[in-house]
Amino acid sequence: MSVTYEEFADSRLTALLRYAVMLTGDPHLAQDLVQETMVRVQLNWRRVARADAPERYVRRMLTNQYLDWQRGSWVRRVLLRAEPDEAVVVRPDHAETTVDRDQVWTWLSRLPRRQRAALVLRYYEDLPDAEIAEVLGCAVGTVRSAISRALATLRAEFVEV
Amino acid sequence: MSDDIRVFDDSSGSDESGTGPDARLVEEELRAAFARYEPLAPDAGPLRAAIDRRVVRRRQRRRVAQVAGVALAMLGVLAVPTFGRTVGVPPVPELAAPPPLAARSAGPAAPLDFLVLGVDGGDGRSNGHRADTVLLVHVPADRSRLYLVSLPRDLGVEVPGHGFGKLASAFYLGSHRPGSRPDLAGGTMLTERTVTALTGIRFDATATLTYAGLRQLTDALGGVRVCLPRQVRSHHTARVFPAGCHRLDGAAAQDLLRQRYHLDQGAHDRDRNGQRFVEALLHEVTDPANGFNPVRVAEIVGALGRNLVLSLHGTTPLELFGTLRTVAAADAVGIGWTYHPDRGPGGGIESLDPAQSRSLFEAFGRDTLAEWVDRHPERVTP
Repeated sequence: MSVTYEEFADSRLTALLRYAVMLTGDPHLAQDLVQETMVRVQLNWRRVARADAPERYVRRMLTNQYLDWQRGSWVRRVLLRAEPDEAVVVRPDHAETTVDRDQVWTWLSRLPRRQRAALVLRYYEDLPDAEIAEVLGCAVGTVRSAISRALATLRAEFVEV
Repeated sequence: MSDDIRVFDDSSGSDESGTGPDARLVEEELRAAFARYEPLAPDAGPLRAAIDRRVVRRRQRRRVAQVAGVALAMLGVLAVPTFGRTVGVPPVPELAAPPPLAARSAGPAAPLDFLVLGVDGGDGRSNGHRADTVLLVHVPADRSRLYLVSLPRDLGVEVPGHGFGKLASAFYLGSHRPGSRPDLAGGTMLTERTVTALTGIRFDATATLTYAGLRQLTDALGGVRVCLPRQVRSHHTARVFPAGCHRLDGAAAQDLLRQRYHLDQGAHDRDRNGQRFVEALLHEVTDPANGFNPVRVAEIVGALGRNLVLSLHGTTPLELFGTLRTVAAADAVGIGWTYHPDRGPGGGIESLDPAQSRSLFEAFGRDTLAEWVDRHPERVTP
């Protein structure tokens, strides 16, 4: 009845990679993030498989990894790779009145990680708030306020453009 | 997602003034952005293989860590029961031994170096004792890690006062007493001096256990359950140990641990079997189901008598035990060698790359193994 690690990786690895791309905004970081998580998943597979829903359990592991990553290696990697973002921020010649499509991506990268994760879980993974709360390990109310703050920030950016 | 609208209305702020874009527009832009970036997701195939490789390495490292903890715990367990009686050898006169641990406890912790020896020939039939297992253990001052270096038994070395020979033979040269029982303390002392002469490392303590001691210990525990990855056929007896897990009594355990001739990598595979055995043995001792308590372990170890030798250089066993207990949980880093088998006249003498081994041993003395490992990642046992 319970799935093996191989079956799980066969069916879920691609989806996890996409989720990680949405969280990090960078394919390399996404790959690192998924790799680190999946190594731990495989080493502890028995415990993972015992969870009610292994998929949700792993998504939670990956999200925690992403949130914790900011200290240490994460910061270094972001600083090394994300310099172009800074350039985008100060570029003054945005003549278009419509929002530049990649602009949304840049704004996302400036959100606090927890807010970004909440946005990804709702608008990319289409999860109900209760499940988002479970993934982020917080109350439903906290999820809602995080999302509303994130959306407010994004709207303000739209206004400026 | 009718929920979303309610949430959005909760947010207060000037952006509700009507000049901003509609809430739905922001949400739609978000969904569209995520969809556009989906193709950025890397291919799962290569990543899958990378994960599997990393898992294999992590598993091996875990095993090394367990073995290290076990080796140290064993040293500690062995040390405790000798409290109150003097076991071992007096400090070597020509070497300035490090001050006792107690004398150093006032300041910040000092780095520690231990030597663990496993010797054969304790059955009285073979021609004297040789050290089959020579393990160096370094505990840095910050106690963050344990560093383990096994020296090959067939390493060609200068034995002080005896000339060039195999490392394993130093124990024989130090312990052999024609016409009387071998002097294990003498063997321990000469092996320690040989390793110190080779490496420049001065040891805070050395522990030696014979095969006979191992046999007694195993029987006293009611046998030890050992798991082997592949079959081992005894060169010395008719025993065959099939792949899989077996509960071995003392005689069988000793037989298994002597085998190196029918193994793919000879003595190196035997070292691995030894690690498996020690791991299983400690498991046996610490398993609550077996009901061993320190008193019972002390009795068992006390019965080992002369089959255990401790050289403590003025450190009391209790101090040693206290120190070991604090470091036994630290992560272990195994450092390996690139072996250079030379077919010399003595047969199968191994040597170490002088350039690499010098910097390694210096790092022991300076307590800079962390930096050394950073510079030589390829030497860390995967």
